Amino acid sequence: MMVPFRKSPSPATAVAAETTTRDPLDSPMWNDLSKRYLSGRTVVFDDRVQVILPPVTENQTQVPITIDARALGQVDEILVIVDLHPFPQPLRMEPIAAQPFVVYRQKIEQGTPVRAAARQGDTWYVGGRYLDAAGGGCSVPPAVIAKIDWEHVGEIRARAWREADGGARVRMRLLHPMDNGMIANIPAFFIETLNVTDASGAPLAKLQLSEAIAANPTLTLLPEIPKDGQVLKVAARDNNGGDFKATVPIPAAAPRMREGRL
Amino acid sequence: MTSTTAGSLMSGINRREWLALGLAAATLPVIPGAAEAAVLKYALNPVVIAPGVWTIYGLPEPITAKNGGAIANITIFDTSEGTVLIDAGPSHRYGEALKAKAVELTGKPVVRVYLTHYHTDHVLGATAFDSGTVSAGKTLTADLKTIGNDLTNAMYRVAGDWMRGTDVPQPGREVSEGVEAVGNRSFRLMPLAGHTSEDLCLYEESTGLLFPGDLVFLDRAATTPDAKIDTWRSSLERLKGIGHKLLVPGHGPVEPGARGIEQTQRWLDTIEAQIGDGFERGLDITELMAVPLPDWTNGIAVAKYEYARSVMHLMPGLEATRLPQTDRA
Repeated sequence: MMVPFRKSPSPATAVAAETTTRDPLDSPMWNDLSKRYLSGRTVVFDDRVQVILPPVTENQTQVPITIDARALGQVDEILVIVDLHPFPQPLRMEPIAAQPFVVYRQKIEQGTPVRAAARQGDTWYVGGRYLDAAGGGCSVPPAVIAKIDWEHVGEIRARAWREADGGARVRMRLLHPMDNGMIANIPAFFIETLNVTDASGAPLAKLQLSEAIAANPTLTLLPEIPKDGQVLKVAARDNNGGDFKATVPIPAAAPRMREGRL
Repeated sequence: MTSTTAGSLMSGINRREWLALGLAAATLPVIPGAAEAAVLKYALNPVVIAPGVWTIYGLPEPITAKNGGAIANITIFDTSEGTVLIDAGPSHRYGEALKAKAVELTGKPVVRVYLTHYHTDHVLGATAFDSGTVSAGKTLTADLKTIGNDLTNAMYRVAGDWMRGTDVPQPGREVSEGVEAVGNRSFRLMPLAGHTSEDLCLYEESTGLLFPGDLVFLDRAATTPDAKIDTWRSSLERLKGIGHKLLVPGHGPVEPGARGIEQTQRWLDTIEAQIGDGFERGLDITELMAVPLPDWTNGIAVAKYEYARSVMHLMPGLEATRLPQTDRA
């Protein structure tokens, strides 16, 4: 069910909101995609779900995207939906004990709306922006075929920080080609799941990645600091059954941890 | 459309949608760009910078469909043996206009076009000139072969109809380190690097003019899509030692002294430090882009935009090398 676009509550916008049920990004795909991914629940357009994009697309194979739904408080699930894309749902996240915030990079096939839908109970709150881009990040072979370091596939570089709000921040980069199967003679080969847990394996955040995620997936997440330890664990699995694991120590608090935070 | 048809259409859709359709219909005959199509013409205004030498200043802007990519400085030399150009501009159309303007100024045909580096705003006008006169370093020529099509595609997309007729230039004359005389002028050629894989710098000995290509930006933020910052720094050190009279940056005003070299160094130091610092504090790309630049950059055109691009260019390298390797257990 579609209900009106909701901005942060103020009388003026509340009146305006009653006059439209239209997709604020005016996308021809939205009716179908919202049925496919969000059906059976209420859908509300809401500015508290932010999609932050770069001012220009430098590289269609590595477009940095920030999803920030922290203004909603705790959410059950986040879906990213990219309307005009061969893989329109690049990432799904359950922030079990984590903030509803994720930064990742993806391949982009053409200019498109990029949206995040954050679910609280039976309501999807949807925010988004239009990303301008040239074509071909998914389907055109790069001029220089990336050399795959097969020996080190799945190696994880990662670092954690203790945030000023008492939570943790973890940034990670997994060595993986993330081949989407659209380039001739290169079969699909990509990481499907990635979980961040505490030392005992209790999940803090669960992510489903897809063919759309950029090579060498690079993510930023904001998990809670586990009660039972000073480490975060990362476990990822690709569609060939490759398991990749990492242990990331959480350091003591450092000064200046508020600066530059979104 | 008869009133009956209009009436039956109206009954099927509500008033708001009708208005939207009406507006869309009203704008249909105005094809984007069509209004300018008849008048797309580069206004080239050469400025004398030395006897018999003119520079056409580029605009301190990003490449847009409005400016047609005319953002780089292009220089015209009158020599006793013909006209020499340093860089050729962003499109075939620009190249044609440049050729006409150069011949008008000097009364002599263009006998040589030096290309400094492969970025579109400097090289794509070269197709307007006889390939035997178009001179470039070995690496630049090779790079144009491999990525030239991507470069023209990107330019067609961004600048639109300005690009009509533009193709990938094929320099017919290879240059390397050394001195080349053209009539009464003598060009010292130095293939350096750092801004791109090859940045051909020229020093003209009779006038003391130094052309560092895009190794030097002045009052316009430097671009880094293909940069190797450390190499760029060493190239700037070498340029400082030449002892030029006037410096003609790839972008920005022609000046005596080394302000352009120093400002480019400071810009590179500033963005590299800011990006490195943000990385150490755990910021991802979009967060780091939002961090304000220091006040000294206030007078520099497109600083915020180029800084945001540089974050995208430089962060992946830091992540690949400076994020710690983890234990697998």
